[in-house]
Amino acid sequence: MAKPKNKTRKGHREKRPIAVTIIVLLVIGEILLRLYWVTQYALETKLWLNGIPWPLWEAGWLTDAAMEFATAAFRLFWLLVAIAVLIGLLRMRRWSWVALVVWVGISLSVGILHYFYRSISEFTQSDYAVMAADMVMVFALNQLEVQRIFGVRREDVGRSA
Amino acid sequence: MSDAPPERQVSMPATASDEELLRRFEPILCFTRGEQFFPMDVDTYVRECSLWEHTLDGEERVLVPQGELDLEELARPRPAPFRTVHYLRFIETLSLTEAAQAFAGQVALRHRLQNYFHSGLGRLARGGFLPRLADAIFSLSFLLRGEVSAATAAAAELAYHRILDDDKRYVYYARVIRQNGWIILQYWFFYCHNSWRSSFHGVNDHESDWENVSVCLYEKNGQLYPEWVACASHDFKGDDLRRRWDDTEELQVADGHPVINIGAGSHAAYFRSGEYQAEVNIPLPDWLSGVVRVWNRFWTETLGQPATNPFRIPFVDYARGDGPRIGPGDWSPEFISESTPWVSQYRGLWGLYARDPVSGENAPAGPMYNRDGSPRGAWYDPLSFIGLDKVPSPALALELLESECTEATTRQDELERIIPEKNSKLQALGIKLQGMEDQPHLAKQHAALEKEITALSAEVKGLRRERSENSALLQGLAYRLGQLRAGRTGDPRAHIRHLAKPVQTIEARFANAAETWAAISLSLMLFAIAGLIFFAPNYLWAGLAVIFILFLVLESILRGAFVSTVARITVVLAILAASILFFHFWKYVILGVLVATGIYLLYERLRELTG
Repeated sequence: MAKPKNKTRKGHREKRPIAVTIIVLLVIGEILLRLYWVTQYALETKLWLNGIPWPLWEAGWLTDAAMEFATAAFRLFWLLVAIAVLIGLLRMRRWSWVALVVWVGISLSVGILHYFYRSISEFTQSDYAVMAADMVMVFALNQLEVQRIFGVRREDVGRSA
Repeated sequence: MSDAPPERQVSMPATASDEELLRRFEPILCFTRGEQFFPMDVDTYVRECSLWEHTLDGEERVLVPQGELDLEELARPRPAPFRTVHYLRFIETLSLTEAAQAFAGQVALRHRLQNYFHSGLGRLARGGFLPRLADAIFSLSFLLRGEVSAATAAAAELAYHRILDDDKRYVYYARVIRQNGWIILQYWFFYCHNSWRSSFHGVNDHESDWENVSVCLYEKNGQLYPEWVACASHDFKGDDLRRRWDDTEELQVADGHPVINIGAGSHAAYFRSGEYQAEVNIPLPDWLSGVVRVWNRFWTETLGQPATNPFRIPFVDYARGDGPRIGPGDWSPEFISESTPWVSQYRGLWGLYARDPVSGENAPAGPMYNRDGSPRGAWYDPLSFIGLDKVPSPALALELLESECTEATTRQDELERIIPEKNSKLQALGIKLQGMEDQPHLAKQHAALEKEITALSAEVKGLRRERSENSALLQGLAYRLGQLRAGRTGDPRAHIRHLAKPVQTIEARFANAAETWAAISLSLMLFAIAGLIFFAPNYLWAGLAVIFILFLVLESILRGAFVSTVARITVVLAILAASILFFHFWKYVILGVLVATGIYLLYERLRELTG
């Protein structure tokens, strides 16, 4: 018999903190955004009729069409990851917290490097929006109550690199 | 003592001589396998030394050359200008050849004695990446600070074992002090070298080392009973230095002798065998300490993150107790006091003055003095040194407690009588005041009476508070009195604020890999930075950040701290992102805050208005 997770001694599920709701909403936003990108690509290229764009390679490098296809495939992959993380978050599983922290960590690192190594004009409003969303997510994920509910922080935690 | 198990219920007649007492309770010292230096005779040591003077202008001058010095000569008064340092040298400056010979001799000696030390999971793997970075800076600081060289440690080891071969005696220097109803047996141990850094990866090395252990006795019905054992240790002071005789968990006693575990190389004393994590704070300038304090408060209180201090370097003090044991039958006691010339007359250092401004590498002074020549607390006030000055001996405790109880009861009775009297007076004045109201011609008297009432009211309030506090105090005293009368002495560790505990074996997921990584990671990082500067100088800052984060993450995986480390890294990145966003959108941020505050206040006021 599977053990009940995240339940109090009385057997009731723990209440989801507001911070988790905010994180869930932001992840849903990410999912919708990626869904929009993937759908838009599929509609524009009529993928279901034309199939994968050929040729993929030209002069030893990816063609523009192949690059767009790869980007869309990558976004689809992240869409699926985001859906899995969302389910984990709703069920308050530890792995989803870890996955999301790693995700926003990578996203923030890329965003900050992007900000410092490209001209400001190339850093668009949507980049700032992603950065802001990531930032909110990090602070929400690192709330003591959120960490406790996901089983990340115990009182005796102290070791780190 | 009634709570003590039978094997600990030892005593001596009050008529016993100081020597008999000292011999009866002399400690058993348990060393760690690999230890090279043991308590020795200062006379032999001094005969092997030369006496030097370091003057204010930085000059070093031999006062008495090697072979001409003895304890009598050492104690001779030597007037000198302020800030002059007198010091002994056990090992003279070594040439390159002599240093090489010392290292070779050290290897041969250890092989002959089969005296090897294995650190196990080393301190570097225990500490993590940031403390290791700080540790590297600490190590580099020795380039600027004075230090005792590893060759000096090797030569000292050879010289000590040569002495030991000729005269295999283990010596303690002891004295008996009678203070506040306590009889303190103080045992001093002299080692000719502290090799903690060079042999056991510790904080410092220095020539000579003085350590002490005390046993505190009290008299009852013509018998002397041991009650406390205390010893000096890193990072601890006062009450934390002592353990009660009946504390079977914290204090080991063998045949009436306390068992003390000695830190390898450092010679610090521990009650329980094991490995202790000593921590050393890197000395930071005031402004930087202030910044670190503010950052720590922001990190822990505002962001709710677990506290960390990357400027604290962990060092392990190995007090495993798995090496030689020196106890009754092995000791050659020597008795000292203020009248022993070399104890009171020689205020200099007992080994090399390494010119270390932090003092860790300079030799200590004798048992009676600090390095600067000021009197040593453990000598002139041994009770205060171990926090026992405020504790009456068990023989006096009952009497004192009964006296305190009587005093508190008398006062309580007095309060019970005074308060109703004062209260009646207060009420009478109150009625009088009411009678004066609405009578303009009595305004002056009214004001004076009001003043009097205010003062009396405050006095009654104070007395009531005192009665309440006194009642609680009486309850506590009565409880304690009952306990003492029943022969129960209470929690033996109630006085301890910080208990020295051996560290648990690190459960690193990949212990060997973590150990290897700990040894090579800093060098690898420096190579990676060098590669970055050479191959991609345009991306220096980004590259540095990426390298640093990658090393941290890899380290965290090996140490089983991936989740907490990644969480901390993301928080730092989020703070950076917040700064970028504020820099670009500060107007909107301020606007947002103002609008949100306005809406909140509006909501609160409207809610109040509509009831």
